[in-house]
Amino acid sequence: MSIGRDARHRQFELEALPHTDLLYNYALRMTGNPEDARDLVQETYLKAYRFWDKYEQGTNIRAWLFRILKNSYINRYRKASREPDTVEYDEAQNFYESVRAQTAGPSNPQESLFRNLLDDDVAKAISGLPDDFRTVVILSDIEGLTYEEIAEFVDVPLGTVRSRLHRGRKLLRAQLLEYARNRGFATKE
Amino acid sequence: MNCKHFQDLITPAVDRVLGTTELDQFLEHAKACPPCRYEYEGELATKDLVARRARMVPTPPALVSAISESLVRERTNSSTPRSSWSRFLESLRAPYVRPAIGLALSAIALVYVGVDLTMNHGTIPMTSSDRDVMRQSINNYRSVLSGTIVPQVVSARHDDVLRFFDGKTGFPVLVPKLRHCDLVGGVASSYGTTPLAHVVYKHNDKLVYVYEACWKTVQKGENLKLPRRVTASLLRTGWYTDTLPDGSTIALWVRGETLCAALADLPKDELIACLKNDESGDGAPW
Repeated sequence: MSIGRDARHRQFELEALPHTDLLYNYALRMTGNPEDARDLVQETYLKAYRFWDKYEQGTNIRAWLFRILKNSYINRYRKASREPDTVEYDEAQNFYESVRAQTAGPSNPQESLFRNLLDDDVAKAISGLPDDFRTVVILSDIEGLTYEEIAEFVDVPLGTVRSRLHRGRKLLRAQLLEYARNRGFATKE
Repeated sequence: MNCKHFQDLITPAVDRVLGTTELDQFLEHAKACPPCRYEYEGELATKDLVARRARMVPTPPALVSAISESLVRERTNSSTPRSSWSRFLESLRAPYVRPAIGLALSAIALVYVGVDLTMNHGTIPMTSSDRDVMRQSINNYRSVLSGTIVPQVVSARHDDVLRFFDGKTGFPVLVPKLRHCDLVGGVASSYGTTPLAHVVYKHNDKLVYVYEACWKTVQKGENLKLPRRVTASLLRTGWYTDTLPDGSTIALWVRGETLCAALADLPKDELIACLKNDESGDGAPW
């Protein structure tokens, strides 16, 4: 059964446009740049609109839109090697080991350290993550998606989502502790 | 619970997806093991910090308007009888794409085979001069099509384009992952009864067009042919390149059963760099 052009357009607007915030925030965190994020989201919606008949009604439209955006990001930015500088995992791991402290009380001393960091530090640390880790951290910790949703979005097994999340947060933590040290909030052992 | 098991459960514990019994055991271990507790608290603090500080930002209203406008434009454009290939290419002229792309695209051929611009089925009448693979490739690359050929696949995903060609040509179609190029799509057609494949990429603001045919068929020289010097070079080295009078470059290579001819308005070394360093192994064998 075919639907009229107007009805198709309305259906797309009703179903796809409500997820703009999700897509924009992800694009913003991945590109680190509002203009690039804007271009990416526009491109995503245009592609989604063109291939609207390929979307299976009733399935997870957020995951479908996200995959289009992710592929656009990969085609545009990874090929052009415009990824922000990433933290070397080994380097972060070594630093993390070097500032590891003995915990003494019931409070979370790391939380106290982090409290003094600026929003810019947090944004910079997130931008510095490798793409795969950054994606799951954004989707989980900023956008609040479940493991199952993330697995569907990124098209990897649940176990991979958990391990990327764990490693991503570990890398983030090491970088944030480095910032805290640089500002004099933490000392090396 | 031992430390290894505890470490494996840190992330789900932080995300509060552990069952009650497992959570109790987890917290018991955290109480008794300072290093493990440190790890847990660290990940908890990190997640909490990111969630609080890296907040969701609302989509700028200007972007919401721009999206709506582009969808309306797309809907209007789709009501005119043009091929989705030319619509796709025209979309690359949208303000959010570099203007140079649109300029280059409006001057560059859409993919078709032969000289019959009213072709709908990808076949053209055979004439002796049209058997030349080089000339066919050059004509395809240079001609401008106003939408008489319907594109068969428009996708940036190599798997999609490969899957499209499955069973259509009788020879293995290659969709090389060319370095510094974005895949645009492909068309399966035929010259008379001889199947052909055409794959198009975007390299910055230029198009790279790849024509593919069965190498054995070309070697036979009956339905398709090549100049002798080109065949000799392909047999000797596996490749042939030339600069055309207008400065564009043609590069031919053989991979298994497939002859490929790539054309682009690029200097020779730039096209070779795209072909040589492809990530799939189906590019030129330099």
